[in-house]
Amino acid sequence: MAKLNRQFEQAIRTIVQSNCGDCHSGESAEAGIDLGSLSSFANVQAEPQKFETVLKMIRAGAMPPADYGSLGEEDKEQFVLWLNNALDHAAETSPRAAQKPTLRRLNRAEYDNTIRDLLGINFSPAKDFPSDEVGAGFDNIGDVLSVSPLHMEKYLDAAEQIAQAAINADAFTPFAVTVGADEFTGVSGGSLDRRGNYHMSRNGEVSANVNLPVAAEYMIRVEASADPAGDEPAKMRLTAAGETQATLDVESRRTREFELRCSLPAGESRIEAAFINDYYNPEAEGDKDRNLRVRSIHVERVGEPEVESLPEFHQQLISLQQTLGEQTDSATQGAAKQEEAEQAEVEQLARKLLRPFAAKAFRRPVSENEVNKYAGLASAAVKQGATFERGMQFSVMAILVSPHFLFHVEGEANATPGEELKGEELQNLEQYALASRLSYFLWSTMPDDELFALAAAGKLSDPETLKQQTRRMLADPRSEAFVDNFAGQWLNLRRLDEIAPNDDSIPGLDGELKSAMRNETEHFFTWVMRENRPILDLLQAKTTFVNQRLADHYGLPDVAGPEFQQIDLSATSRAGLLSQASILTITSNPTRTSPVKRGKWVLENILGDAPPDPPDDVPPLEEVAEANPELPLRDQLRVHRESATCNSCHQLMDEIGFGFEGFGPLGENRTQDDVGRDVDPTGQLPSGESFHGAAELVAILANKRSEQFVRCFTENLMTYALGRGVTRRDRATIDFVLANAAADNYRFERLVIEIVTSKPFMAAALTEGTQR
Amino acid sequence: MKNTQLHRRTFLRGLGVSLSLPLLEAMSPLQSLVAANSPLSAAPAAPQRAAFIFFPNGAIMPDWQPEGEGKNFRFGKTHQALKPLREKLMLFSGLAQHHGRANGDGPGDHARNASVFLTGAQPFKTDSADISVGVSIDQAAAEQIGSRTRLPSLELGTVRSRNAGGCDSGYSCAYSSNISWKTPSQPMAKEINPKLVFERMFGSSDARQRAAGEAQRNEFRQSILDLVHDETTRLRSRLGETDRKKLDEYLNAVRELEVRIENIENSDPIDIPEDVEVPQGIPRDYALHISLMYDLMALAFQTDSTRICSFMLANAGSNRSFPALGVRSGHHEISHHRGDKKKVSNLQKIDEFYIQQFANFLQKLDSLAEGEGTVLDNSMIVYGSAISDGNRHRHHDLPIILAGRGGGTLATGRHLVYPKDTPLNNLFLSMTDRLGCTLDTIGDGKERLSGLEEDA
Repeated sequence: MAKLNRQFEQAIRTIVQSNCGDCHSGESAEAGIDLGSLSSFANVQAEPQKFETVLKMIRAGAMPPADYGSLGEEDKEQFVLWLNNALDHAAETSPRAAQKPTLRRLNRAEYDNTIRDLLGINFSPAKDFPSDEVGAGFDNIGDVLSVSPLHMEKYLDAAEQIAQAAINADAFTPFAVTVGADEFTGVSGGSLDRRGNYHMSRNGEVSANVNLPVAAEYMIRVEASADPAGDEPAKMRLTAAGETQATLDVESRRTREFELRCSLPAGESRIEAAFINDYYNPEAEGDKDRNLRVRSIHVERVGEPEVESLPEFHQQLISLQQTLGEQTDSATQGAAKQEEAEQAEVEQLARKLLRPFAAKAFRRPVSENEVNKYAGLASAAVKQGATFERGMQFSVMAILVSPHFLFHVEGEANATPGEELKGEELQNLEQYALASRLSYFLWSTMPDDELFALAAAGKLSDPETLKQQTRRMLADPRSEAFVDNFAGQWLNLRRLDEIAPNDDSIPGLDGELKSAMRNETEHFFTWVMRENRPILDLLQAKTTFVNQRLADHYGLPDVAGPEFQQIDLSATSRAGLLSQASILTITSNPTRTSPVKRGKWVLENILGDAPPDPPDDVPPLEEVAEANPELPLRDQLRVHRESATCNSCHQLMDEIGFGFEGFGPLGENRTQDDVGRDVDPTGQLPSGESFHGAAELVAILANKRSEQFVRCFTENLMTYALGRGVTRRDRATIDFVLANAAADNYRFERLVIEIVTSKPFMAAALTEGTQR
Repeated sequence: MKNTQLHRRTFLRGLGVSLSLPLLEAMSPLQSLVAANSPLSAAPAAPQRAAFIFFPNGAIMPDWQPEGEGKNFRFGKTHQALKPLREKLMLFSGLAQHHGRANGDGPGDHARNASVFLTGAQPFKTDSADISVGVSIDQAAAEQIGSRTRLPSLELGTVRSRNAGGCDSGYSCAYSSNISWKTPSQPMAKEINPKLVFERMFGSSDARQRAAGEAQRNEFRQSILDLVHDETTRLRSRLGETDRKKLDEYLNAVRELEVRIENIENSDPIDIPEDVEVPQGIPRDYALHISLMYDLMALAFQTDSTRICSFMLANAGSNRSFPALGVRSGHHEISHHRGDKKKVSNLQKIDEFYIQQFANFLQKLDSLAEGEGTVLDNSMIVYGSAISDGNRHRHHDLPIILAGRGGGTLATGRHLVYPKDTPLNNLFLSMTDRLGCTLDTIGDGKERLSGLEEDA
């Protein structure tokens, strides 16, 4: 710090005062940035964010403005170096240690996936949750993920739905229902008679709708009578679950009960009784008219519920119950005592059943005391007359709204509920946190059995094991979630839905094309991931994945059908991500391209060099447009850049954007723009390289800016992996990761492994000593 | 196969005792007593409500601005649809949100537009850590009077928060997607699905059907919340400061839900007016979506489900196109119109479209009789934005309408002109007084707006 202050006194003060002071001093300082009062390192430390902006503006050459006079090269270098060091030092000494990510809740994708893997239920309960706030480009950042009262309502409602889907509360409740003739539905062939029968004088049917709680054998009892005539008895066909179950002869005029036992599935069921052999012969001797009367339909469960048809979680519950039942079958006692004993048993049962469930839900071992509280809910419910299954639903609900489920609680915070945990379980809490980090990073879901087992054995933090696991996880289908969530956000693919919320909001962009665009990029990213390609392939690979719709859009021949296939792009001007329709579309305005947006997108997401914000109150493009209304946008932009301040950034931004002008607002090939002018896809970067079209531009980026790209990619990966924005303090880690990955030509897997084994990734989970 | 366990449980079920429902009172005699005998009877009998409606990207001000002051004003071109409601609203000139300006933070006017609109506070520029702006007026009011209704407040929108990429020049998307802030760091998530808004107010259709089992269900929901409340308190004590703040949000949410369930238990069942159709999901048509949300706001006020509402017609900086209006370009894109006549005219069409929806909503409120007047008479509905000129991102001379007569306490039918840079929050304080809140200041609002009662 003393050194920084000394340097300031020796040189920096003069540079700042003579180059910035005229405008940036005192209360009326331009843009509110007062450099007149900069007198030591302490100022930088007090407002690091402000000085990051200053640094950015000076580095980019945007300040001082050219019409004011430029900063000499040497002065610039000196000031930039000093400010950079000062900011580094400020970060290192900041009391706001950002190293550990803020406690974060599950986001919507993580919630759905976790429920899926925890309970084997797949119905996306989070689709109705409020959207997750995005920070640092991703929606898994603890600092911005908030819990509003609306969230809590949704969590509780979702927990209820999930518990109901996981446990069938009525499976074992006796079920019997009788439907009288006046409640029959779908009747035909007759009418109600005075005795309360449905009387069918013609062929017809009656039916009873019943809601069956569980798949099982049911007894159907039909009360029926008939008027005999002709040479056969009245025939009654019984249909249930859409199948004819039996055809019965109804001979007597007296009402009799007909029974049929059959297996029926759970849910709405329609039981039909049909009269199928009407007979009427006025000439006949004796009985001339054959009729059928049905009085009631009764349905009753007579068999045990079919366990295989119950929800997966409910089945686990039952099998545990059976194991426990064999161990604790107690002798019969007096009624009152039995009740008490039953009560105690319910509680005990709930505890035993809930402990493994809570451990999975909380993604760590749980203590007996901890689980007893949740089990208490089940037994309280049973005490009040609920079924055991209903009681268990309440316990499951409570676990699903617990902060231990909803938040990623890591490391030491978990230690105290584990005070009853013994020995290894206690020691390995950190291993469980690491397992969760890993699985939410690569799968957006909870750890699987293998990860849990490694955590339990205390082996997960071993670097070799971590490598193995990373490989296994990337190859697993669950890593599709990584593509969806990481690539979808890094590349802003999710904005496709936002820019065109309806099919007709952007001409030519319908739902099918939109999803094909997104699919292409996801397939492409998946290819790089699964084939363990060098990540530079993301920029330059002459290959992609298209289906017929997208091939037509691109004007590529020989692709048929809705399936995506890999194709060779050598004969085209396209390569890598940057010429994919998804990205070209999200960086366009609805009806025309925007070279500025495209260039800015490349700077931000590919080169990691977001341009500084434009100064306030500078819309001189307006003046340009007013003065030269006929000028193409490209030339307006060029004129605009003649004004000094803007040039420094726009020169790079706009020129990159021009390279993609051969692609229209939806990424289609084009030779003319929206107003019919020939497009000009040429440009020249400030560093001197000139290009014609996207292929040449991409080659320049991939060759000359590759270091910037791999760093940018790594920073994004790190942000997503840690759930917090990366800061100056992470620079050393990122350098280390990059240095190691370089040895492997920046192959995808290697980068991920380097991040997983990096200090910040392991730090939150592990205490000192166990870290690498 | 026989399973002894199953039989044992069947037996347990036999012990069931049904819970007795609390006696529901058909009327509330207390209230009628007050109305008849106490000096309070002079106070407005009907509840007072406030709503805050936000539109993005500013407006074409020359067409927005009324001509003339006081009672003798003429509506601007954009406001024609409001003509029939002239006597029930006020137009304002001169109000500002100073903290919408950069004030040293550089660009990001759209993020500031939303986050400053109801807070009057400068958002801290960050895209992740340390989000902070201020408490918004609706939430400050809900804090004080929210417990009087089943929902303390209702936050509505038509689009989710942006879910990829940054939102505006280094500001987190939380800033541009939220106008309601419960604490300086906690935005109130908004509901965009009309069906789910309806269910929040009246319960799911399932729940409405099985109202019988509701008491037991609520009781257990309460027990569940109690339990996690305890668990959270224990967890909290083991966390660092930043993590505690996060967990406190969760704890607050748990508490609010506890109170809500309690309120539901203690209040009479709500009669949903007969002509109300239960909405089904999010309509594709934007105008229909907006009008459904407005209908739900009206229904919320009519049934006294809440008295405080906020509604974002779109997120700040929205780049939605309006094919139905023949506007194919994006709203934000053309808002930087650089004086282009075509763009200005398209923008004005968008302004007019939004005003038309708003006018329909006001008509609806005005058609709902209440006491001797209408629901609109007992409401205060702010419609506006914290950007005036979208082309240049101005944060003064804001486009602001206040509709409704505040229970007769507002002298409506006027265009009020205030000195430049009068804080918009001063208007808000005047409103919360009328809601029965006691707020001294909010954000940069330190005083009450003068002249709302009589001609200034």
